[in-house]
Amino acid sequence: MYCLRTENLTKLYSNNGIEIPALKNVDLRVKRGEFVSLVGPSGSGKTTLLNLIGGLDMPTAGKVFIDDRDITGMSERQRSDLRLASIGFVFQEFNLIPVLSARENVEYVMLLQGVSPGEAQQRAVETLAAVGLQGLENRRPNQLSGGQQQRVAVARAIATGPSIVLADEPTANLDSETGHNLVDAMRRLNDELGITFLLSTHDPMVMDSTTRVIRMRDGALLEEV
Amino acid sequence: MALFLRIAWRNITRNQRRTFITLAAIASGLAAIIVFFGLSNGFHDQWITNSVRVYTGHIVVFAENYRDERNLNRAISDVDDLTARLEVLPGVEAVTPRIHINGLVSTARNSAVAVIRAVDPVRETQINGLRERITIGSYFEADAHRQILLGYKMAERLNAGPGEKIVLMVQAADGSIGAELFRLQGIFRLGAVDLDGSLAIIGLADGQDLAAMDNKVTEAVLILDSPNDVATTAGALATELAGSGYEILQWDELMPQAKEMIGLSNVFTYILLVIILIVVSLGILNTMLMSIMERTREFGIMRALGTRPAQIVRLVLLEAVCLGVLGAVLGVILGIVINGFLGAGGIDLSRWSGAMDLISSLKPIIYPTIHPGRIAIAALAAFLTTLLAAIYPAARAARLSPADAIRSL
Repeated sequence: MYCLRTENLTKLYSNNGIEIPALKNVDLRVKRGEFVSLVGPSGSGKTTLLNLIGGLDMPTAGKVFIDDRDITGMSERQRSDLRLASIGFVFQEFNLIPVLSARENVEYVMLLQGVSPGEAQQRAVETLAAVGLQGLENRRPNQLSGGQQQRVAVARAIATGPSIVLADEPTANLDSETGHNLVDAMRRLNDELGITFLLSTHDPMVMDSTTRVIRMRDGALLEEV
Repeated sequence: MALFLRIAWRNITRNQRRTFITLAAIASGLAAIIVFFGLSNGFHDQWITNSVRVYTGHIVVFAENYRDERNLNRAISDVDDLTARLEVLPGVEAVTPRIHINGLVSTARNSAVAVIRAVDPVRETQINGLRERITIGSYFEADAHRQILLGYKMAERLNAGPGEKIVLMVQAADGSIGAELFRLQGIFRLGAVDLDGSLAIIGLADGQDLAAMDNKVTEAVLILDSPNDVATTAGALATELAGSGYEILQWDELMPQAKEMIGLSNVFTYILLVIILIVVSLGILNTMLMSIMERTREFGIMRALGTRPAQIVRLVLLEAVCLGVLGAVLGVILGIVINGFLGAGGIDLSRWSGAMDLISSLKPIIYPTIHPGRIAIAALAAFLTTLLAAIYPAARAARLSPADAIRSL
């Protein structure tokens, strides 16, 4: 059972009338419970692929299936609802809503899902504890270190019980120890809770932590390592 | 809703300088509107007050059917009883009987058509200060008999001065021509061009003699404590006098042109309101767009998390609601304070009192007055303007492509 599947996924960017292929006929399958890293040089199409999988951008051709539902034919609102229900995101930096505390950032997505405020608060505290942030729940993003902010983003990404968490170079702006700890935390969530992760990275240390490594170059998938 | 309201509130408190500038724009625009409303109301109130005191009164009671043909036989016969009943009504400041008839005013050399007003000299000067308006000669003496006051323009036309003999001619109630000799006691200047050129004032008993009216008068004039109570008091009067054979008219029915002028002036006030609000809305639009652009990445993140476009619209509009409510409250307070400050001394327009003469000024000082209904209209308009100005920024925020928005830093 694949929680993520793409078929012939292609994305062309138009620049002054010249079409530049960012992604070429990508066929990718990720099974539930996998911990996958996507590696490749800058400009190889990692971010474009993650954006298309998350429904943040639309492909020029091809399809994306999340839990066997084709998201490329969905309306903007349907894709919003799908992201809320099935996809967690962690970006490189500045992931959090700055006017909300760590706990409120995690609560935000649950409240959008219609979870009661009391339950959302309790689950947010538990999830923050699971990524090692107990005691920092009421801090605003600007009162947290970069690593702590990324942990809040991970906690928020898993709080809704998604089918897959997409992380676009989550450790790129962290020192190696902090990055290592963050990946460890994700790895633990994968082991203990069976949450599926797909993360892009340049970092060999991150690659080593994942169970599967997919290489990309010039918008295409190369071999799997 | 509570979630987005909380985020909206924190968003507007996070850039305090920008919020302060936006609020200042809304509040000062609204305060300007309220002050202008106050001045305009004050001007109208003063105008009405002045006009009713020299022309008609706030409310006038006629005998039923009198006005159709101006038949003096149908005038009010029991005026003392009527006056006594009207004086005790709440909100009534003064009641005075008058006779109005058209007639001819002549000296030995000249003559002119005039409106002849017969009055109770004591009551009349109480309502319009006629005694102080005498510029040449003097007011009626006590127990005056066959004394007449003329407007200064009329006196000029007749080339008449105090002490001069004046003959009044009218068609009397019995159909005969009534003519009596009077002596010019004084010349008045009411400040109303038409009255100063056409009005001749005599004592009530002399008027009744002249027009063979026995003890009748053509009307009872009421002055009220407040011009805002005209409709209520007229209603109370209608109840009090029901079935007694009287007709009750309000000042705006007797001076429809004055009412129209006020209506026109109100139109200009509302045009000014719209102009001010357009300027304010452009300011709000500008700051909201700036705030949206600065938060492009934030909106991208929110969209990535599964926030629907409609929820982004709601968030931005809620920020506008917070700004609109705060701005409206501050604007109302500021407007009332400025109005109160101006109202304490009034605004003296005597420098331009030539213009005021046209509309019969007794006092060329304007006191801004605040009508709560109008403040509510202005505050609501300012609030809705803020909301309207936020629609475009809200739509822009909702239309951002999440992928592009997240790329922007």
